[in-house]
Amino acid sequence: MTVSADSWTAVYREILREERGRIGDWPTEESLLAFSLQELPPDEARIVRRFLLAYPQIALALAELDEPFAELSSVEDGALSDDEIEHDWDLLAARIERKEQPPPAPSRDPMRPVRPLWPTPAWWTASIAAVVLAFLLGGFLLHAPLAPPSAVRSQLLVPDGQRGPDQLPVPVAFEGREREILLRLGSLDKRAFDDYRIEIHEVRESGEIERFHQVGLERDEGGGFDLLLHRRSLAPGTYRIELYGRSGTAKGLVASYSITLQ
Amino acid sequence: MTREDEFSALYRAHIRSVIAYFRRFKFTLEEARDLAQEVFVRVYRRMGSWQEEAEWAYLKKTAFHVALNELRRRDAQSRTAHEQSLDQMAAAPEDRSLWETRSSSPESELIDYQEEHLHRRRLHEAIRSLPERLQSCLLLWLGGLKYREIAKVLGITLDTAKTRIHEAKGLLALKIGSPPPSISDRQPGYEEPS
Repeated sequence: MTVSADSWTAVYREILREERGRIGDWPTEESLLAFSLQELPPDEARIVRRFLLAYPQIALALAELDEPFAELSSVEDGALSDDEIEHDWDLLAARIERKEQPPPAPSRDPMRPVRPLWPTPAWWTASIAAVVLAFLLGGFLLHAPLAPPSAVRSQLLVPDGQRGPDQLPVPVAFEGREREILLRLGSLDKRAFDDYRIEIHEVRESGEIERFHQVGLERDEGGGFDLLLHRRSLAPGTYRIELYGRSGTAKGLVASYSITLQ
Repeated sequence: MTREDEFSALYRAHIRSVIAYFRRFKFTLEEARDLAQEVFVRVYRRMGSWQEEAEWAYLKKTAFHVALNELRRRDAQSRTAHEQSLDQMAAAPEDRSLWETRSSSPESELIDYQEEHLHRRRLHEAIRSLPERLQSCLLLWLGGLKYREIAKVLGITLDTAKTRIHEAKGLLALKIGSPPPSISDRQPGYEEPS
């Protein structure tokens, strides 16, 4: 009997499926590390060993955990262009800055319509102080590796279906030499998920194409989300921003926002 | 050097290695970039707390943690999807007729299919009939691990790992009358055993 390579692969995959089907809860990370140090009692070690047979990638990662990163062996591995590295760095910096910022006042409601307020004397005093402070700090901030998004103009987006009779995509435009806009995504859906994911889809006549996604977002105190949009990231056009929540195996669409990027 | 300078240098020194690390888990490049972001966010929060270990060691542990969480999440998701698809199949038995269309294939194709199916079944039984100590080594080897990695995972010596895989292949050849897979037939993406 001659067994083809395809058959070997198919049988191996079938065995992996069987092994995975037998696994109940995954071992904890602590159990895996204890197993690799041979510090688990035999019964527990047998369970972990069975788990590793079903997940050879994890077995490999565990085997080489105490070794330096493997050398980059091919272009496919981790080789990004310098521009892509810079782009990812910008996203990372913005994400870290958002998490480092103090939370806004709890009374803030992102869905409340923005009304023009008559400037009070206290407002004028605070504004002048802010301008002076910004002027003094400007030179430093320009050179800071993690430029704060507080200098970025923000725009509140109301979810589709909640903007009253006008359901056209909301115009979003960069002004002058502006590089970024902070989109504040309001949401009336207060369901609490463990984490949130944003997807941006380009809307074309021929269909939709996902252009960007980001995981690990967190609600701000007002229940909304911030999305820092870079000018270079997306070409002008129509996009739909979809916000999903995820808790364990449950996943749900929290809101979507249609925009026209100009 | 400020905290930000230090973090920037750390990022630029290791970002490509971290992405490559995730690629070895078979994540796509875009997924690997997302997960690498998660690693560096966590590392930023703990800056300065890994004085007693090398930067790469801390990064690698964090990346392992992030990869494990993501794989666990996907596994849970795929199980749910599988259960849902089984429910749907039970709810719509007429869909099963899709499986019956195979009988309309030409006779020769049907024979080829049946032979291949038989071969796979015998191979499957042959692997499953191996003693557990041999089966474990063989499955890890088929999964792309090198001898020394198999030895480390299973807590055996390098020589024992080599001997067991050799023995497993020999028994399989006897049972099915076919040589074991060549190295290139194993799961792609890993190096050959040394």
